[in-house]
Amino acid sequence: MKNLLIKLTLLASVATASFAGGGGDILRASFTADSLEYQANDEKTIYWDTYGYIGYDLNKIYIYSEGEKVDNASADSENQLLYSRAIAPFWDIQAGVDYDIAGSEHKTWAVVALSGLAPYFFETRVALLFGDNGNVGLRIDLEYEALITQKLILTPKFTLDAYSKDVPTMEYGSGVSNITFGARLRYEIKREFAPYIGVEWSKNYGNTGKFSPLDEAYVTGGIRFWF
Amino acid sequence: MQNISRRTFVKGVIAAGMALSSVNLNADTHRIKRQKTEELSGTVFHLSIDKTLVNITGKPSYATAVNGMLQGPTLRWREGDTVTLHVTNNLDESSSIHWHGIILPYQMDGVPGISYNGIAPGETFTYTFRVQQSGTYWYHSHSGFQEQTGVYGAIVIEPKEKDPFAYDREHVVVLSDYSDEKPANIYRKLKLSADYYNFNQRTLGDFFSQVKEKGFLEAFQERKMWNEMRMSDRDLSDVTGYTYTFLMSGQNPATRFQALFQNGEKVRLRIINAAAMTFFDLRIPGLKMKVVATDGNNIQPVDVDEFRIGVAETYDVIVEPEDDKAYAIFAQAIDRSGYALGNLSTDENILADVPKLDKRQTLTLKDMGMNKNMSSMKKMDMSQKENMSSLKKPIPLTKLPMKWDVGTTMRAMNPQYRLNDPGVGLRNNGRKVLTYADLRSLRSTKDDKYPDREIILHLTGNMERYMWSINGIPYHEADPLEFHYGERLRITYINDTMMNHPMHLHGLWSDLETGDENHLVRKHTIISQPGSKISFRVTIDAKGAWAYHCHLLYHMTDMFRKVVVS
Repeated sequence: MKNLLIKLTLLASVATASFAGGGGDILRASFTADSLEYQANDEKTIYWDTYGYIGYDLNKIYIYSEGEKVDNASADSENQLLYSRAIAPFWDIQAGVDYDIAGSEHKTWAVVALSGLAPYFFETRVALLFGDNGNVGLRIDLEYEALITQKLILTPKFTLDAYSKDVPTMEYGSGVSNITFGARLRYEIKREFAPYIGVEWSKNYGNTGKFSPLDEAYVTGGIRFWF
Repeated sequence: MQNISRRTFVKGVIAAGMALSSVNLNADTHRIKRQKTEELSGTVFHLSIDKTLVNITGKPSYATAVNGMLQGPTLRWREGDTVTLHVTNNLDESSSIHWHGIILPYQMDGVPGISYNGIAPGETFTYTFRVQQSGTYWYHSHSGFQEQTGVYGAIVIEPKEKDPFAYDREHVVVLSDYSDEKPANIYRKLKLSADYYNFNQRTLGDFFSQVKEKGFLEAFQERKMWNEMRMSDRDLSDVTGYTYTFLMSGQNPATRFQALFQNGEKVRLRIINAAAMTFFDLRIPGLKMKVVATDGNNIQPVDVDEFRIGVAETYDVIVEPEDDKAYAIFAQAIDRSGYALGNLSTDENILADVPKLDKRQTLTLKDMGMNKNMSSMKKMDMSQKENMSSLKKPIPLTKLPMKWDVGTTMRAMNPQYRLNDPGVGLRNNGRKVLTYADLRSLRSTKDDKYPDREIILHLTGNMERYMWSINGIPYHEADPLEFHYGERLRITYINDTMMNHPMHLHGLWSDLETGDENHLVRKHTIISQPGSKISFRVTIDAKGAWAYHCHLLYHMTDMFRKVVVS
């Protein structure tokens, strides 16, 4: 996969080199691991939050993968494959499929999302999920980057998940299911590579709290990288 | 805040101490040693473009050099001569040379896809044209991003009649920016993260000190507009000294370009900004500079301490250095992330003190094309007030297609003519800084034809996505501009971005309206300041297809138009 992406990027560069003007909208592919970390919670979780895309200024194909693996258990993850189209200077609308894995269970959703930069520089992503039996999910991600220095960057983050129906097998419940507040402090050795430490508080609500009780604060540490 | 400039300096020191022979890159047939820039004169020239191994930063990298020279040879022509230039492309990709600012038949202009097909690998293209002008010009590749990797050089044209000012000696001073990073990688990074190279962004500390100074409410209010628009007031340069080493006539600041003179001499400096992306603010501490020409055309001399030179512009200045003293020719990048340096002295062993970089400045609401008074924002009149008193009568406006959408993040609500504004970083710095309002042509333009019609070009972009365009429309979606042979056109730029754009119209002269109707100054490249408005006139006197674009290399791909004159 990686080789293919690099090849496509190279091809795009070659194409640009032969034009005097025009051809500025180069095909590009990129992968970002926003978080790849160890969470010092009761379950000793390895957590990742990543995305990648291939495309042009206005049209892209995105993949998102977020998930966790706790000791002695298989990984749980939420994975999306989406077509993304710019609809406003700072906003993209995205549509595609979501494939959630929880232990040996899995579930597929249709997704529509709005992603972009809100006023006051809030990186925002709101995804609506449509499952079978009319179940609707909502996932909100908000992130802010505060520069302490040019390389030391504090990133507060807020996420909220909610569902319209119970899915006990996946350990989701109706109503707000989870709220997570976190803040990570990274040092950009290079723009593309930054180790970080952070703190986070996460709580499950409603029926989700019954299926899978969670209310804890913990310390995290990991790396952020992209290429 | 000086750490980046120090780093640039250190990079230079390493470069100076490192022998080229110790470098072992993969053996390659293109391996040519970098030559010192020479001057070639006459009427027949042979130029070759080669992949050349250089060491500018302490690390070896491949440049694309003309005749093995990074900064290609200086070409000396004579007004009235017919010159013939055989250009051989030894690269493994298509190449080209464009003669910047030279008035010539469009087939000789050297822009692939507009005036010819470019020069294929291994091929030679012969340019030939009569030289109808004099002064300081330059040439560069118009293919891909080759200009940044080295395909550029100076052109000096001797006038038929003597210049109306005296000097004893001259030096060509070419400013440029070099990176070991491949230009395509720089461009990709800008597309992925437009502020990748900006290490001068707002910090929490900035905000807290503002709060301390003015109170939370006022500090918050001050940031409000920027935050709501999701724009940075620290956005002065897309690509900075983080990756660029700034060169003066091919020398980095550690090795220093040497401009020698003898006691008592008046020295003419022909200053050319051949950088890919960098605006420079140039001064020679301790010396007044008499500006005598811009973009090859003589002007009424004006004495200044400092001037901003946009990418692709040229200025000729005359200085009278004192005996046995050394002066620094100091050209800081607009964002103060580094500088190019030269040494003006009678002895190359006498080195001038290097001035400190100025403090970094931030953009203001004026640079966003806003009224200073925020409370009047809402009731602001959208129609622009005409404050150029020079217009005798209204000029019919030809409407062009506009698109305000995904590709545009900003619109200057109240763009003003800012000819006497030296620009961000140069305002009220205690020095006499040249502005466009100071430029008055030597020849009278009193009897020049009054414009037949006007067009307005909005310079537009989306900084977040790193997209650039004209009238919101990128080059590949745009129809050519149609100019009519024989007409006189007035063109107005409205800059709806936060960047300075050096706009270059090929093949035709641009007569800049500086406020003095009788002395419009003739230029080939006009800086449009952020959030501002500026106008010029063009006599459409050359048929053919011409390129028209922003000269910042990474804006050029889309902030570009084909002009058809028929």
